[in-house]
Amino acid sequence: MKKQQMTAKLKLPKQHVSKPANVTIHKLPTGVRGLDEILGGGLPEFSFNIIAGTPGCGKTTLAHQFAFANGTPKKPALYFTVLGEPVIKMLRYQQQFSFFDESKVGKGVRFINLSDVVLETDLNAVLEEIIKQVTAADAGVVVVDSFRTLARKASSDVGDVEVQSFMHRLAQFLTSWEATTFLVGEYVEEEVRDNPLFTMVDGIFWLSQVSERNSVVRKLQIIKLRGQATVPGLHTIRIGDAGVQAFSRTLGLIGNNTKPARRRRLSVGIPALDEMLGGGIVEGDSLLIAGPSGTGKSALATQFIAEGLRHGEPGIMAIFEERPEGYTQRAGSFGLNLKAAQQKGTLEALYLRPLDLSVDETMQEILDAIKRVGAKRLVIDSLVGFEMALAPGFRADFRESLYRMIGALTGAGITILSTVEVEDTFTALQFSHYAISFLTDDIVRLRYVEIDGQLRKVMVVIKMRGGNHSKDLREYVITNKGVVIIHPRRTDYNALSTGIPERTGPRRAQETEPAPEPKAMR
Amino acid sequence: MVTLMGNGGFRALLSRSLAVANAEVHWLRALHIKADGSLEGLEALHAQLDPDDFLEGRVVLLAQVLGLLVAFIGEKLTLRLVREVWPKVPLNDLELGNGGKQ
Repeated sequence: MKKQQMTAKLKLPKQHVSKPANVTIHKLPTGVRGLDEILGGGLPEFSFNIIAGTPGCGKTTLAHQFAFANGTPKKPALYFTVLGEPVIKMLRYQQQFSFFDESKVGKGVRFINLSDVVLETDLNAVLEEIIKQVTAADAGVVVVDSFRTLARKASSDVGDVEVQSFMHRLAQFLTSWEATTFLVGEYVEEEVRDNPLFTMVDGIFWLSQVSERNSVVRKLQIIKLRGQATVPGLHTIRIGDAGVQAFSRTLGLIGNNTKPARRRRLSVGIPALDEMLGGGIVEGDSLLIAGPSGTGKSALATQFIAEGLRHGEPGIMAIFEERPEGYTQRAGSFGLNLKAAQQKGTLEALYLRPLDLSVDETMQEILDAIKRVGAKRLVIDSLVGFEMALAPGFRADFRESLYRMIGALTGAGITILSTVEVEDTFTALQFSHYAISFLTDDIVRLRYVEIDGQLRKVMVVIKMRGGNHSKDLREYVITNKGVVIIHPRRTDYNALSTGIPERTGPRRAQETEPAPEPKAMR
Repeated sequence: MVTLMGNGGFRALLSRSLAVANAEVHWLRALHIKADGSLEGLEALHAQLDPDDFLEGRVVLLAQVLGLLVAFIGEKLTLRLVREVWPKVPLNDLELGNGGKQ
C-alpha cells in the first residue's frame, strides 16, 4: 500500500511537468535604418551570414554599419580585409558616413589586413590567423571582406573541397566563439544555387542594382535567415549620408492597426460637402478628389487640412506639384493661416519631386513626417505628381505600393485626402485614369459643365464606403473662402455629368456675374 | 600599421612618402624599402651622417607618412592610429592639417 502511494506521488500530473524552454535567440541591431524591421527585429546573435551582390550595391557599407553598431572595446568587431578594396581607401570613404565613429576605430572596431596571409600561405594559416585574432580580441562581431576573393584564390590553389572544409571550420569556430559573422562578397545570382557557401550560411543578404531608363535603384532581399521570419521580397535601399538605409515593403506598419471601433465623422472644411458626405468623411478613411486642372482640388485639400488644424488634428501635406509656399499663400487668401501651424509644429508640408525616388522611400518620408507631428490628417497632392517623382522602374508598382501605404495609414486611424487629375471628356464621367478608385474609401468627382454659356464647376460624391451619401450634382465656385458650394442640385438640366447638359426646365433670369470669377487671388 | 594595411599597403605608403621626402632630404635617396617594409641602408647611413642631418631625414620621412595618412583618412583617424603605435607621445600640439603639405 505504502509502495503504491509512493509511486502515485512520483507520478506528477502532466501539467506540472516542467517543459524545457526553447533557446532565446537574441537579435542584434544592424545599425541600418529599416533593416531590423525587415529582419524581424534584428540580426540573430551568433549567426553566420553573407552579404552578397554585384559591385557598388553597398555591401561594405552595410557591413561597416553593423560593425560600428555592435563593436565594443570589450567585445570588438574585427573587420578582416582580404585582397579587396585597400583598407586605407575603405577608411577614407567610410568615414564620410555619419555612422562612422572614429573614436571606435582600433577599440570597438578593429581592422586587420589578411591579404599577406592569404597571398603567402594556405587556408589553414588563414584560419589560424583568424582564430588567433578573434581569440585574442574576444571578438563579438567578425567581418571578412571580401570573402569572395579569399575563396577564389583558395579554389585555384587547392580546389573547392578544401575551400568548403575551410568554410565549415570557420563557421564552426566563429559560432562556437559566440561571434556574429558577416562574409562579404561579390557574387552573381546564379551562384546561390550552386555555391555550397550559400547552403552553409544562416543568412543571405542579397544586394542588387536595378536600372531602368536613366534611373538606378538599389535593392535588398533577405534570401534566407535561419531562426526568424523576415519580410519577404525586394526592399529598396539607398546610400545616403547615414550609410545604407532600407525601406521595408511593409513600411514598418505591420500590426499598427489602431483604427477606432467607432469612428467619428470629420469635417472637410466645406459644410455643404460634409452634408453630401453624410456628415463628413469617416475618420480613418481615404478620400480621393478627382477632377481636371483648375477645379479646386488643391484648394479643397487645403481646406481639409486647415479644418483638421482647427480641431486640434495635426496634418501633413505631401506636395508633388505645387511649391509649399504656393500652398500657404493660397491658404492665406482663404483666410487660413497654415504658416502658424507650421511654426507650431502641427503641420508639415513635404515637397517631394526628385525624379528617382522609390515608392517606399517616398512613403517613408511621409511616415516619418506623420510620426514627427503626430498627424491625424494627410494630404497627397497629387497622385499624378507622386508617380512622376518616382524612378521609372517604380511606376509599374505604384498602385500596389499606394495600396499598401493607404491601407497601413488608414489602418492606423489617419484620414487621407488624395487628389488626382482626371481629364474631362464631354461624353462620360471618368473617375480616374489610374483605376485607383479601389484604393480609396470615398471618391468626390469635380468637373466642368457648360451651362448658360459658362464653364461652371460641379461636384458629386461617387462613392462612400462608410455609408450613404448624397447623389446630387452640386455647383460650386472658388471664392476668397475657398471652395464654396453655391446651389442645391439643379433640376432644370439633364445629363450634367456629361459636361454638356440639356435644358429641361425654364430658363432662369441670369445673374450678372463679375468676370473673372471671384477666385481667391492676391 | 601593417596589421591595418597589410605589408603591401604599408610598403606602398612608405614608398610614396620616401619619394616625396627625397626632394627635401637628399640622403633619403639612398634608401630602399625591403619586402618586410623596413628600410635598407638606414643603419649604414646612420654611421656616416651627421646626427642632426640623420634625425632631420627621419623626421621628414615620418612627416610625409603621417601627411599621406592625413590626406587619405583624415587627421582624427591618423592621430588614433599614431596613438596606438606610440601611446605615450603627446599629440595634442601636433599639426597634421592639409595632408602634411604645409
